[in-house]
Amino acid sequence: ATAQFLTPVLKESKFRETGVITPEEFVAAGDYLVHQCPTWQWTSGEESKMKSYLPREKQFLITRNVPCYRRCKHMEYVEENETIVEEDSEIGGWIDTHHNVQLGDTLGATAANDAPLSALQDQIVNISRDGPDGNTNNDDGDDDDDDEEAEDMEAFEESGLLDDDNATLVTKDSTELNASAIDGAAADGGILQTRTYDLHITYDKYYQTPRLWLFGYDEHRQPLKVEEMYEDFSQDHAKKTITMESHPHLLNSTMASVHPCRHAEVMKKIIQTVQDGGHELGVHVYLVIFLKFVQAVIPTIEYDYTRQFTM
Amino acid sequence: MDSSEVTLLQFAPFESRVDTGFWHKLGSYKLNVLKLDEDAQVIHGYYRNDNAEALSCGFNVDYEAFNSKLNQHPNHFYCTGHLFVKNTVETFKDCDKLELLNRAGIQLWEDIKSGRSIENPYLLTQFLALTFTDLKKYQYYYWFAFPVVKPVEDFRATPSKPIDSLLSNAQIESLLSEYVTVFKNLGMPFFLLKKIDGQSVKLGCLKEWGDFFDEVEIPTVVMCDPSTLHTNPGWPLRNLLILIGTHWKKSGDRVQIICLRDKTREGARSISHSITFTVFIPKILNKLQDIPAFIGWEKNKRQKLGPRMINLSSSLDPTKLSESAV
Repeated sequence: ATAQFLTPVLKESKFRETGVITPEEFVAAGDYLVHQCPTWQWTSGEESKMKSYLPREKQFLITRNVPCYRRCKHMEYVEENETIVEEDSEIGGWIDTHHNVQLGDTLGATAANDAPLSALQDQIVNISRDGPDGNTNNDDGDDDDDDEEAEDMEAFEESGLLDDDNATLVTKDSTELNASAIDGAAADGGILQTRTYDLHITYDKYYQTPRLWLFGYDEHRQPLKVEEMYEDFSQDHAKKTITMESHPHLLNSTMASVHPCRHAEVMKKIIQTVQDGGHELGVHVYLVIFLKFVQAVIPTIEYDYTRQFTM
Repeated sequence: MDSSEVTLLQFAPFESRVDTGFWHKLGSYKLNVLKLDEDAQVIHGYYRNDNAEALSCGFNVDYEAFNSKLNQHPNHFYCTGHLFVKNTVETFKDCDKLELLNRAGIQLWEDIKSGRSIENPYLLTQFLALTFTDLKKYQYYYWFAFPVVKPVEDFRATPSKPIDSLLSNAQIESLLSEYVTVFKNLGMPFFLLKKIDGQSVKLGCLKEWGDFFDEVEIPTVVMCDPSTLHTNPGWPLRNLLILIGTHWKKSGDRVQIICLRDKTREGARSISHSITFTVFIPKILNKLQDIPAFIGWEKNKRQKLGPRMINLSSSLDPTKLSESAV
């Protein structure tokens, strides 16, 4: 019923044939997402960067403080992975069981190999130039900086501000806990200091698809470095499909983004599959499906989306 | 009630979560508007009561903090804060934090005593943001405070219980629909609750207390709770209890608190993971004319009272950006 209410009548809609959507369809799909998953919300962004083809209050979608409890490599190398995938497919239904591999491959296909597109694309940044092995060296360097900063910050600490308050709960530091303790703390209802991400979905006018943006914070609210964010992107996709670019609705803001050059193609395949199965896919579920398939890129970032939708 | 059940009540402190967009805004605001002005500026922040499991009580300040007209997002509980932008790292370090906090605290205490915070409950949850921006190095020093009155006695309560120990499923549904329709649009963080019958509940504003709780021995008060802990409520409850203890209840009286937590899964909204406590109102002052003590500076990542620093050179510095671009 909600879907009918939110879905506009679109004369020029091409999304079934091409996988692309119009700004009006983006707004309709965004309204549906916000209704289904209220952690997502519309926002207007910078006044000076308003896009005239979108409503003022609905320029892009944002969800903040999305937990990312563990790194991708833990999923990829730990036996547990099997269960996670199975659990997901039980709930997630058709995409995981039948199409995950195929979708993943399509999404991961390097844009640079695509000759007609590559000339038009923004520069693709290989966000881990040194590869996973090179990270160790990077980290060592970073740690030194961090230590220096930490020492500097200690010099700012103060006494005499009544920190002996009985009624203030003391927060534990999850970086000192191992993975099982993290699960334990979550189950017991303890506070976890964990990585978090802010996710944005903008409308990409060139590709006529949604575009996902990510900004990560570490356990202490420091912005993650590019190399650190790489740990939260699936290794199959990260090097090829994630680019660092300036945000279309914010000032001076460079963020990681899942490059949209393949989105329409993937969406078209999904829509085709659904239609082959005898179902009609309404454009309002476009973003729900979109979020489902970009999860292949960011499997450990636990953002909210509706796993089940009727087709 | 078995008195051995009653234990110390501890509140999960707010954790400041500053959007990088805020720092971009602050940088240009300092250059173009503030210049060398170190006086307090009014900004806005907010918290939510639908935080992801096991996350700390986030208090958000984002690029909209400077806007006078805020977008009324339905899940945001807005708060007013005072921003101080220091010109040098020395003045940031040397300024008297206790004095800053006490000044905010005295205003808070005035608002509680005068009843202004009964009319405007968001006044109970204010914040301070002390900052220094090193624009050349893309480094931003900051220290938040969430001032609360420190009573002379500990807060005490019975252990937390799930909300369904207090309300029937039908009453929980009734609470949810009342909350959604009547109160959520107003962004009101606290309200009063009365059971009508086994099926439904009635909600009221703080200012209706007297008539609403006529003849009720243990009133039930609902707080929209940013905490996700099964055992502890979030920071906003502290000053609410002080307000209750100042106007309607005396020390040792009991109040039933519902920590209202909201979540939506698969398109279905639920508050059934909310928790409830019986709280004992503490003695707030030794003598009526006393001014209470105030606390609230946020701890740093070492759990010491100290500021934090954020380094945005990797996402802002043009030279670093060109390094990471292949």
